[in-house]
This record gives sequence, C-alpha cells and structure tokens, in this order.
Amino acid sequence: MRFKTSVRNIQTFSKLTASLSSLGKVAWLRLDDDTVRFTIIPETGTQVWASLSIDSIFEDYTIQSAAPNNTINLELPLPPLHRALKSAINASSASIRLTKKDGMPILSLTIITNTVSSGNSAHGFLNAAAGNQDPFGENGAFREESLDAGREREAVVTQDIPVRVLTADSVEGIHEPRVREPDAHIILPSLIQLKAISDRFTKLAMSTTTAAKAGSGNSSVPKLELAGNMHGSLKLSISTDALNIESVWTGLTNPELDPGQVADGEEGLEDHPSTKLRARGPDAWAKVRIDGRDWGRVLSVGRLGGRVIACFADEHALILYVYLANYEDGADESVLTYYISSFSA
Amino acid sequence: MAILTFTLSPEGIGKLHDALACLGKFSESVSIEASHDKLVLTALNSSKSAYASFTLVGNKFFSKYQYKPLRSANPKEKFNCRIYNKALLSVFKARVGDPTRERETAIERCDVSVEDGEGNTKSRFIIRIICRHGVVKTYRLTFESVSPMHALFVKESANNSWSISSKTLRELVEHFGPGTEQLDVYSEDGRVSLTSYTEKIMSGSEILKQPLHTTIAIDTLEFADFSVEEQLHIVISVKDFKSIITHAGITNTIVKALYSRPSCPIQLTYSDEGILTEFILMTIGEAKAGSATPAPNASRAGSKRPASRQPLEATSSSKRAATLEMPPPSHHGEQNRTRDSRKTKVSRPSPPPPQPSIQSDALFMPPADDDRRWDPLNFEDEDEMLLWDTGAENNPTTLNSSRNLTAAEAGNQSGSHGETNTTGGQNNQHTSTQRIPPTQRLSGIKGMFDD
Repeated sequence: MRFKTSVRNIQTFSKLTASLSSLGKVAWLRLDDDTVRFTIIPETGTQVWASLSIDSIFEDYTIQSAAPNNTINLELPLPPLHRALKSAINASSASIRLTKKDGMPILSLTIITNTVSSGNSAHGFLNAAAGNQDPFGENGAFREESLDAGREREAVVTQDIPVRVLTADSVEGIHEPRVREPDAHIILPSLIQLKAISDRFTKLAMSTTTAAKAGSGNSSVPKLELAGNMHGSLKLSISTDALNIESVWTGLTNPELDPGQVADGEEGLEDHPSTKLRARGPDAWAKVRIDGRDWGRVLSVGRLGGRVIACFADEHALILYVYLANYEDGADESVLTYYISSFSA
Repeated sequence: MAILTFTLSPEGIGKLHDALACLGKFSESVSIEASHDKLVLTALNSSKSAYASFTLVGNKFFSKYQYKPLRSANPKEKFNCRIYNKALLSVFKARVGDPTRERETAIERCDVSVEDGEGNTKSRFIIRIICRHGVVKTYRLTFESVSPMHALFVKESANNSWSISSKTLRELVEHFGPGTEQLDVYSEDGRVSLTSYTEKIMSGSEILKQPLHTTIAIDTLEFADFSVEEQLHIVISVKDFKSIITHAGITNTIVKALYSRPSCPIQLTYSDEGILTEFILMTIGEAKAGSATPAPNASRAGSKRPASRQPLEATSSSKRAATLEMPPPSHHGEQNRTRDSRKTKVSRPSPPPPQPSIQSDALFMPPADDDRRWDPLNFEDEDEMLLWDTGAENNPTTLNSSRNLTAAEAGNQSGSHGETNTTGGQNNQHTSTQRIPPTQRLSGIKGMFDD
C-alpha cells in the first residue's frame, strides 16, 4: 500500500479541511486512481460527501494498493490535518505520503518553507547570496537540480498526522444517502450574506427564548425554516413566541434539469416534482426546517467559493451541491454534497 | 512611606505588560525585587521546573526610578514582594495596542509607588495611570512580602550554546501544533531538528487523537552561532518554550541558549532596551546515545534527578499535573518508553532556492485572515456580529461602546483585585445590559420629538 503526492493547491486543500472540520472531527478519506473523496458522517447533523478530482488539490499523485482501482481507505482526523496545512500556507512545496512510524500509520506532510530573513547581521552574506538567486529563473522549472543552492534559508517541516487504515469491509456498508427527487432546486445567493443573516436570525431567536436555552440545549433552539420555489425565490425565516422574521431573495436561478440525469428522460422530466412545483406558481414552496447552528457550519463551505445549488425535498431534506472551480477545463468536476435532513414541525 | 517609586512611559507600559504576560504563563503570581539600580520580576512554575526573570534596568527602562530602602543604613537591602499577576496585567492592559482609542484617552505616563513600613503605613502597590485631559486612574494593589526564589545557572559548565534571531525562532515555533508536550532539540551533520511530540501511548480510535508530531529541520547556518555537541538530544517542555519565544519574537533580538546535558538546566537569554530576560528550564533526563551516564531505563517521569542539578529550585520537570496552567491532557506520569527509534528520522530533502515568502504572523497580528468569517458562529459567546462599524469613532454615549470591552478584557478586569478607583470620566467598566446590542446607533435615530 503506497500513497504519495505533492499538494498542488495548499490554499484550497486548507479551506476544504477547514470547512469539513466544522462538521466533524474525523473524516473517511477514500483515495483511488481517479478521485479523492472525503466523507463526514457525524452522529447528528449534516453529512458531507466531498468528491474531488485529483488535479484540484494534488499533482504527481501515486497510489498503489491491493484493492481494485488502487483504493486506500483512511480514517483521518481533520483538526490536525488542518493545523498541519497551516504550516504549508507559505511553503514553496508540500507533499504527503502514507507511511508508518513506530508501527503506527501516519500521513506525513513534508513542507519546504523559507525562513524569514530578519536582518540577522551575522549572516548578511547569506542574505546577499540568496538575493542573487533568480526565483523566476531556472530554479522553478528545474527545482530538482538546484536543490542545494538555497539550503541555508530553508526549513523542512514534517507534520505527522495519525491515521487509521480502514479495511474495504469496514467501509463497504457506508453509502451516500438516497433522497427522493427534489421539489425545488435553486442556485443560492452569496453564502456570506446567507450565513450572516442565518446566524443573525438564530441568535435573535435564541436570545428571545432564554428560559429554554438554559435547559436541555438542542431541542430548545428554534429551527430555521428555509424554503425555495421554482420561480427564483428563496425564503429564510424563523419564528418564536416573541418574534417572527423572514428574509426573501428573489431573482435567483432555478437551473434546468438535464434530461439525461433524470429517470425516464424527457418524460420523467414532465412528471418531475420540480416541474409540478413550478406549475403551481411562485407561491408554492418546498420547505425544510434546519438547525441554525448546524446550518452555520454547513455554510462555512462558502470559503471555497464554489457555486451552490440547493435542492429541496419538501419537509424532508435539503441537499447542497457545491461545485468547485476546476483547476483545468475539462477535468472531472469536484463537488461537495451536503445532506441536511429536515426537522419535523 | 514610599520605598520605591518609578515612572513609565507609554512604551514602557506596553513592554511591562508583555513581560507580565510572559511571566503569567509560568506562575499566577509575580515576584518583584527592587534594588537601587534595577527591578527584577520573576516567576517560578509550580513544579519548579521553569523559571523566568525580567530585569528592568533602573536608569534605562524607566523614565524615573528611585529606591529608598526601609532601613537606609543598608543600601544593599532589597525590597521583595509578590503580587497576583492578573491584577497587574489588567492594570497595564487597559490600553495596550488600541490605536483607535489612543487619540482621546491616550496614556501619558504611569507612576508607580510602593508603600510599606511599620505603623500607620499601609502596604500597597499604587499605580497611577495619567491619561490625557487630566484623567488619572489609581489602582492600589495588595502584595505579600515574600522573598523570591531564584534559580541558579552555572554558565561555566554549559558547553553547548547557540543563538538565533528571535523572529526566525518564532516563525519556526509557529509550526508546532497544540497538544504536544515535549520539544527535542537535536543536531547532526550541520542540520538542527526541533521536534515537538508527545509520548502518550494510544490505541484504537484514540490514535486519531494523538497530537501532531512536528519536526522542523533547519541548517545550522540559520543560527547566528551554533556550537553544540553532535547527536545530543535535549528535551524541554514545548509549552514553556512557546511561551518564551512568543515573548522573544515581539522584538527583533537574538535568543541565546546555553546548556550542558540532559537532566541539567538550559538557560535562554535575550535582551531588549533596558530589559534583560532570562529563563532557566529543566531539561528532561535522557541517556544520550552512546553515553553510559544514567541508567538506560531511568524513568523520565517522577524519578529523582541526579543530585548534580544546578538550579536552586528547578527540580523534576515531570510533575506537570500539578501545574494549573497545563492544559487538561496532562503529562502521563510514568512512562518508560525508549525513544531512540523515533528520534532518528530527520528528513532532509534538499530544498529549492529561496523565494520571497510572505510572513504569517498569526500569533501576533490581528487576524487579517478573511477566511475566518467563514467559521461557524459561536452562539454561546456574547460577541455581536452585524453591527454598524463605529470605526475609529469611540463615542461613549452610544450604546455600542460596550462592545469595545471584549469579553476577555472584561474577565480580566473583574479578575483584578485590590482597590480600583477611577477619577474622571474614564469608566469603561460599565457592562452591557442589552442582550442584543442595537443595530443602529442612538445618534442615528430620529425620535418623534426631534426635528
């Protein structure tokens, strides 16, 4: 079993781990020849299935295992991974490999970073030497050959993240949730705006139900109601005994369904719940009730800057598809799927 | 009568605050020792394995400094006292690094006098902060008369030394994640590796809770000076080291380390204008590779140190559980693991040439990190969001002014003891009675009777 790769896009990788770790501390990471997939299934709250094209975060990717498609399954703690990637933010290069230390499997992140040249007078000549190197010259292209030149100013940081290697059997039974065809699908407005308003609503509702707040926690927190129609509107509301607030976005896009993706093609499309909801006009909504705090954690995915489509299965579930910008055109799509189930009224 | 009086400039207040903050990471009380030419602030941690000392030079650090011993017959006599650190911190914290408030209520200077003596004189540590517009804040703190304990360090026997820019060191230390306990310093063949690790043995799913194991390998040329025995492992508490470097990195200085061998103390020193800083830390005992000294299975925890240890008080470094400031995952006392195997990996791929790097200053700069706004909101804390930005304005008549007093600050202020009295209008201790701060400033509201 071998896995080794360079990290192409440390920023994206770091933002991804930040977003995922807000929902759960441990991820199931499945690596194979084609994709990198992170799955988080917390005990309560939202599930995430994040499937990324290898190119979107890695390069020089090698993987080898006895399983079909060279699959490796790992259980990976996200906070240490995120912390380790923080070390790499300004690095000149970073690579990851799966290895063992003291008999324990680890993901070892090797980061080559420049140390600050803080005018250490004793080393003026070194700074001068470093200055003579043209960072845009050959060194970028022929990194391998010019390794020793700048060694004095480099720090090699190794961050070892503990992992568990999962057997194929142990993950066999875990499947992506199946949800019925959604009643409405809509492209969400700016997530930072949506998050600010959602957080605000939740906070207001919580502070007007203080008596319950001290009590049993979760159950007492009022739920956010999120609803979408097929005429470009999204409605966010919350109500308690003391208040009732609502925000409505209009002019949003309801993307067209691809007949190829719908069962029974064109015919299926005609019978599709969303077609029916559209026919019922702008006052017909598909609605879910969600926990405001959980929703806030979900929305932290906004940092990745993806395009987000929300699919509402009325009174049942909300599914968010977050499409990340591709590193290269024509590459496989990277998409994060969030499964949020609706609370009953 | 005043035994000791001194005056601090605003800049000096900031530096004193930094020093106190650093001392606070070692002990909750700070010992103050005054003599005719200097003021020495020290702290010794509860397990007596770490000692911190800041020497403020009388005529350099202070704009005025005067010491009159109680019995003037003996000018060598020192005055000693011990104060609860948080009390001092909250006094000096008041304005540190808040440029938005500086204009109106900037501190002009700070006068401190210490009164003690028989009879009617009350023993008080009196701090008067003189601000603009004639506002004077006076704090009277109580203190204990206790002689400080100083750790000793014998330089002559310390044959290993290195020194390095504090900024460089700080940047390196930032790579260490939370939760680890030990820091191993090792050098071989022109490379120095700093390893932050923990020795807890975990199994099953607990493995995933193991903190990050971080190794930083740098060239000895990174040091201003490096003269250390090859292949020597020196292990100290990573938390203590971080506390030190956090402070050292505030200024651009050179940190110098001196040590001899495992289970003997290490000394770290640096200086800034008018302040000499010294730390003495106990190193964790370990038989060095190939040496026959201590029994190979000498437990590194809880065992009695060889009698040859030098510091007065710095004894076992392992009884960490007793330290209040230690984070919950405290040191698991008795572990006899030989660590030789895990110490050998020094990865040294030769790196590409240097490129200009953007410095991350996470520890010390306000988070310029836009990414943070994406973090889930913590609904439990009282910080408000979506406020109108009052910006540089700080009009105390708006309801919003209370937000300037952050929760942490408020906590610290209430944590101070001793009497506080405020003369003038500078009262920023008022607490918010509003659960939800208004989203509109009062001044912006047009009432029905306004016209």
